[in-house]
Amino acid sequence: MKHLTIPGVLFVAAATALSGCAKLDGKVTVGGTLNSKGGAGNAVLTANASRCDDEVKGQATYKDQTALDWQNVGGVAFNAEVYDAGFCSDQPVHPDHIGDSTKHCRQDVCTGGMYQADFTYKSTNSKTPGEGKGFICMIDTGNGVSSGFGATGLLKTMQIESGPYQGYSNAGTMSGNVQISACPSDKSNKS
Amino acid sequence: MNFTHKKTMIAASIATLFSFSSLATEPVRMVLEAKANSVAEIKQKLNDIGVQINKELPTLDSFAITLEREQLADIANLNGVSAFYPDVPRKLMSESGTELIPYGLPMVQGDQVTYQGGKKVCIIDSGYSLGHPDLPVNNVDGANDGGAGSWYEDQLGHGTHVAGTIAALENNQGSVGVVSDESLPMHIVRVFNSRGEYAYASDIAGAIEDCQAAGSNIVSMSLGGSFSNPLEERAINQLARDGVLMIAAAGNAGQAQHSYPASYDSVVSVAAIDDHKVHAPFSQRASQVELAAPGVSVFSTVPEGRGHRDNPAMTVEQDGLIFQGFGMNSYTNELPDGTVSGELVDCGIGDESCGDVTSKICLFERGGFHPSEVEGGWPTPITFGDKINQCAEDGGVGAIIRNHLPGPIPGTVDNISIIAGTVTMKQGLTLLENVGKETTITVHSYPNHSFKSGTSMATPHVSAVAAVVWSNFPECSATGIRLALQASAEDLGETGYDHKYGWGLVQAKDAIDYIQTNGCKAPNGKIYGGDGTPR
Repeated sequence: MKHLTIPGVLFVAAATALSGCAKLDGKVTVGGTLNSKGGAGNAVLTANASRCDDEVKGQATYKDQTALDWQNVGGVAFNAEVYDAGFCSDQPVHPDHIGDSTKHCRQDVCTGGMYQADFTYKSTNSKTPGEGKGFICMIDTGNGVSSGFGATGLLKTMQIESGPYQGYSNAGTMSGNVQISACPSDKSNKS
Repeated sequence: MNFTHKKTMIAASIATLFSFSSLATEPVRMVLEAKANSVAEIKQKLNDIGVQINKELPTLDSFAITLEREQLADIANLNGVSAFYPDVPRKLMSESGTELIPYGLPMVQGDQVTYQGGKKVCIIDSGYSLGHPDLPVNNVDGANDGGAGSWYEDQLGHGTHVAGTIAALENNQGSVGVVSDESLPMHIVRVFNSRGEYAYASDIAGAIEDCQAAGSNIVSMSLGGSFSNPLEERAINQLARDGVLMIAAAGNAGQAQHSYPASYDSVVSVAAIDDHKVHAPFSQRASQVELAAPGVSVFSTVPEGRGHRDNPAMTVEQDGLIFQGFGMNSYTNELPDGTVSGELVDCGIGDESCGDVTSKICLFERGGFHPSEVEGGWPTPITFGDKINQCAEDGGVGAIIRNHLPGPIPGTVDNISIIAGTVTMKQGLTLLENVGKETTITVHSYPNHSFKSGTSMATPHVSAVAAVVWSNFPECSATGIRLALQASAEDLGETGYDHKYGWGLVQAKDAIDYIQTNGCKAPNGKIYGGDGTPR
C-alpha cells in the first residue's frame, strides 16, 4: 500500500538528521476530536502549551475510550502537565545548544512546522491508575486561523512512552480547533 | 589439445551437463567440434558407435549429437576431436507454457464463478502497463488527469500488479486474475508517479470523480494514509449515494490504527491474510475493517522485464493446497525448470542420504552443518546445493527447502540437476504434516510477474469478486452487494466480526449463492463500515 507522503517533509527530515531541529518559541491551543486508535469512537484532546523566552507551561486532557487493545479497561484517559514544548523549526539547533535536549524537537517524527509538547500524565481511568510520560506533535493546517469546522489541524502523533498507557499511540485529523501562534511580542521579542 | 586438458574439459562438461537433464539415465546432448581435416572421419566413427547426430554444422566443422552418458569418455577420446561440451538449451524470452495459479484465486473462490458483464472497475493507482502480454488491452481505458503521468504506463509496477489480480489473462502464461477472459471493463486513473510517493487526498477526490465520469461501478483503491480529509470524504460519500461501491486497503502499519479512505463509512476496508488464512502482521486493525483477502506474497503482473528480481518462482501443489515460493536461482548456471510430481518425503536437515527416494520429492529443513572432516576443524554449513544434490543422488526428482526462520528465503545455488525451491517456515511446517502425499512442484521464470505483499494486494481480490458477484445480480444496489459480501464471508479469527479480519475472507461463490437464497435487499440510507454500528 502506498501511504501518502509529502516530499518536502522527507527532505526536511533528511536535512535535520545531520544537524538537529531547533525548538523555537511559540504557543499552541488545541480543542477537538479525532479518530480513536483503531476504534469506533472518537478521541478527545484539549491542550494548551507555550514556550516563550524558554519559559514552558501548559496542560492537556485526553480521552480515547474505544482504543483497540485498551477497550477492555475502559480506554485511555489522562490529565497532563506540559514540561517541555516548542515550535519545530527547519533550522538546525544553535551550536551553543547542541547538548541541550530541550532545544531539540524529536526529529524522527516532529519535523519543521509542527509543534511539539512533552508531558507527564496521570491516568484518570480508575482501572488503569498511574503516571507516565508522553509527547504530541501537532500541525495547524489553518495556519493560525480557526475555521470552526472541518479539519483544522492534524495530530501528527501522540506517543505514550511510560506509565499505564505505555505503547499507546494515535494520529489523525482534528475536528475542532488547532492554532499555533507566536508568543506575545512583549515576551518573545524581548532582548 | 593435450590429453590432460581434454579430460579436464570432459569433467567440466559432465558437471555442467547435469544442469540440463533431470534424470541421470537420460541421454545427453553434446556439441563435438572436429579438427578441420577430421570431420568425415569423426562422422563415420559416430555412426559406427551408434551416436545420434542431431545436426551437422559443416562451416563450423561441428556436430550436435545425442549419446548415453557412459559414451561420453569414448567420444571425447576420439582422434580428431578439438572440443566436446554440452549443447545448452535456448528458449524464447516469454513465459509461454507455464501459467501459475495465484493461491489467492481459489482462496476467494474466483475459480468457481463467471463474470457476466455490465460492471466496470476503476483502479486508482500508479498506472497500467498497457500491452503487457498477460493483461487485457480491450475494454481498458483511463484518465490522464490524475496528475501523475500517462494512465497506460506504470514505471512503479504497483498498479499493474493490482490490475493483474483483477484481470490477468488465462493464456497459458504468467498468472490468472479473477476475471481472466478480457471481458471486464476497467478504467485506470493514475495518481502516483514513478516513485510512488506523490498523491494527496485531493488527488483521490479528483480520481473518484474520474471513475464516476467513466461509468465505473466499483472503485478499487490500494492506497491510504493516516489522516482523514473532508474533501475526499465528501467525494466518496457523493459517489456512494450515486450507487458506486468503493473498496480500499486497511493499511500496512501493523497496528491498531485507521487508514483513509478505507476507514470512511462509505468504503469497504480490506485486511490482508496469508496463504494459511492468517492475518498478516502488517495489516492494520481497526473498527472499520470489513473484509479480508489474500495479501501476502501475491503473484501478479508487473511491467515487462521487471520481475526478474524475484524469479524464478515455485508453486507447490497438493490435494487442495497451493503454495507459492521462490525457485532456486543461480548466477553462474542455467538451472532446470519445469514440473515434476511425486510423493513428498521428509529428508530432515539433509546431513545424510535420505535413502532411496527415486521419483519422489525431498523436503529439507534449511540450515545445519557437516561435521568437520579434520579433528578440531570447523563444521561447514550444509548448503542448499548440498541438500538438493543429495536428493538427486538418492533418486529424487525435485526438492523443497523449508525456511527455519519466519518469512520467505530466496535460494541461490551454483548448479543443481533437479528442480527445487524454497518455502516459508509456515508453509514448510504444513508440508511436513503432509509428508507422504502426492506433490507437484513447478519452477519457472516469470520476468513479467512478481510477488508483492500488502493490503494493497488484498484489495483487488475484493474489488474483482464484487464485480463478478454484482454482474450476476445487476438488479442489486452497491449496498446490497456490500452486505452480501459481508454475510457470505468465511469467518476467520474470533467468531463473528473482529477488527483483524472484519467479517472474514471474501467468497465469490458463496456470495452468489447467498444472494440467490436471500436476495440483496439493502437500506436506502447511509450504512456504516466495519461491523455496521454507528461510530
